[in-house]
Amino acid sequence: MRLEIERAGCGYGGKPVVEDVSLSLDSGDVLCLLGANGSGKTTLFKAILGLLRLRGGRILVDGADTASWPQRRLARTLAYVPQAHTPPFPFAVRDVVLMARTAHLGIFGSPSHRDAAIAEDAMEALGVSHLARARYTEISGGERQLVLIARALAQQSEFLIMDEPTSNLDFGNQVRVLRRIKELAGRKLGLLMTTHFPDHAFLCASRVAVLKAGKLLAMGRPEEVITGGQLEGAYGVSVRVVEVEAGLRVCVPGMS
Amino acid sequence: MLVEPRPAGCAEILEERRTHARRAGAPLIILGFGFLAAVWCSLMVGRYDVPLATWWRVLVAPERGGIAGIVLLQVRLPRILAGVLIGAGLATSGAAYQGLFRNPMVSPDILGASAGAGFGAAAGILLGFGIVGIECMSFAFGLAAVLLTCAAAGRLARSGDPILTLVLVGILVGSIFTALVSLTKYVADPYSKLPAITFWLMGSLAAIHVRDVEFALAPMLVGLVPLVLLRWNLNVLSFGEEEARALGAATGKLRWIIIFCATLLTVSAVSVAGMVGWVGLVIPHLARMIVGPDYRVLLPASLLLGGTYMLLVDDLARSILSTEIPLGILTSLVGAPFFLYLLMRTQRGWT
Repeated sequence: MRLEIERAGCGYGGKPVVEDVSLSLDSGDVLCLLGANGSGKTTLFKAILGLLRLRGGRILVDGADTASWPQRRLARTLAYVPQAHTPPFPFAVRDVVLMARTAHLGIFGSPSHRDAAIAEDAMEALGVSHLARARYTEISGGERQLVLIARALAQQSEFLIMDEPTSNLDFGNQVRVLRRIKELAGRKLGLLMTTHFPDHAFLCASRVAVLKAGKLLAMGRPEEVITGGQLEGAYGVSVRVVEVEAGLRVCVPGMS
Repeated sequence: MLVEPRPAGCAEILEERRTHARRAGAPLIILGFGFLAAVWCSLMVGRYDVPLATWWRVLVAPERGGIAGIVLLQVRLPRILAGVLIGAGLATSGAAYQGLFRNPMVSPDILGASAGAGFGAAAGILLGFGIVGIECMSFAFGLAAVLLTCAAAGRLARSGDPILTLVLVGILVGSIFTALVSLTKYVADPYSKLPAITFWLMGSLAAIHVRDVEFALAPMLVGLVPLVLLRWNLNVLSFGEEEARALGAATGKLRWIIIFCATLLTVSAVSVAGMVGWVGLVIPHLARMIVGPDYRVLLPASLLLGGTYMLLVDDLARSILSTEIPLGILTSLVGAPFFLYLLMRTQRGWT
């Protein structure tokens, strides 16, 4: 399947935040969105998820405009992975994952045993089954992020929209989450994620897009897009991209 | 299909799930028995002593019950029914509001329902209406207060957090109606109407009549049934507007249905029994401590506990002193310290 963002524009009040951004994503792709704070990444995500109305352009799934889709249908196609958060009530992890099934239930419905089995399989896939009975509010940040990804998986959508899945995690958990992201792409899911670390794009992205002040600066394969010049343009600091070994690149910021 | 459900017949998983269902069901069954015990207790407690044997006689042949029949069927039974409806209604609406507003400190009068209903009743008493007139006024103004809150918040919420706007406007509308209640009291005849208004505002089930139960029953059911049916969506909504929408919940529609139903419950309770505070705040808390935050269990648990609590408090109200204590005073006197105790005991905050 193919998710296309076609010349999208959106914003709050009278202020445009994102203008004329076009992206596309196929099943099996990991598209990594880079950009400084306030460059419009989250706003663009909200527009894609139908939480914010588009000012211009279209969002297409396999060529069909999603503007008229009800929230339920949108949620069956696009699953959202928010940053690990703390809900006001101490739900059990298994119930948090089970919430993903809402898009597949009627308005008065409750999840069935089949839904519970799907949730359990999703937890299994992300390696968090042992947390099923734990309270979501009491597990670690890294575990919460994995649980939220499991929830998105249980939603059985074709695309996962992930808002900074590696932020606020320690180094080990960042790597664990990135490995899971690669695995999910292997299952033919399309993943769109933001990150503050260009290195993470090298590690797991098949394509990279760079946003600056609401406009698309560059898009393409990681080694084409993530260059010293592009990163300096996006973040305003000097960066060297070093090839450590064949096909393995890292970003080293200049400190002077 | 990216995640296929496991083939059925996997005994271990089925067994695990059965235990889960039992775990969720057991507390509800216990709460159900507690509720029945409270009903029985309320039938027994009172000035007029009715032995168990007389009970059966009255139930089998109500027309030959004599004084015992009148006491049981026309005084205690309606009062018990009203207490159950009011307790269950307030607790359920409190639980629903807490999920919708994602805040365990929210109570059913958050959008100004109680203040509006209080003013309606006070104005009804001031204008010399009969009891049905007073109840209708109370009901109408309670609903009007919430509609006013929602309409004003709807205009303001174009940009910004719709839930926060609702709460803030609710506080404003509530304080306007509270001021209007004070005004009504100020202009009321201090010898006849002022005491009546004051007494009504304290809340009581003393004057309950079968007719009051009939008056409150329909709106109570209209409020309760959709909330119980929507209990799964309440889980999803407690993750916040945007996340709930991304999960596929029709949040806009759901929000209004839940506000309407919870308000209907609060207003019908207040219009019949006056101001009965703290039930809608304390009971959902207590229920959450017993069964956890999952609304599939929490909502029925709140309903049962609310009914039980109201019956027990009413039993106290009519038995501690030789004159009856207004219910609202007792629910606050019992409710607030109990709430404090719950918070200190768990040390987990709002869990």
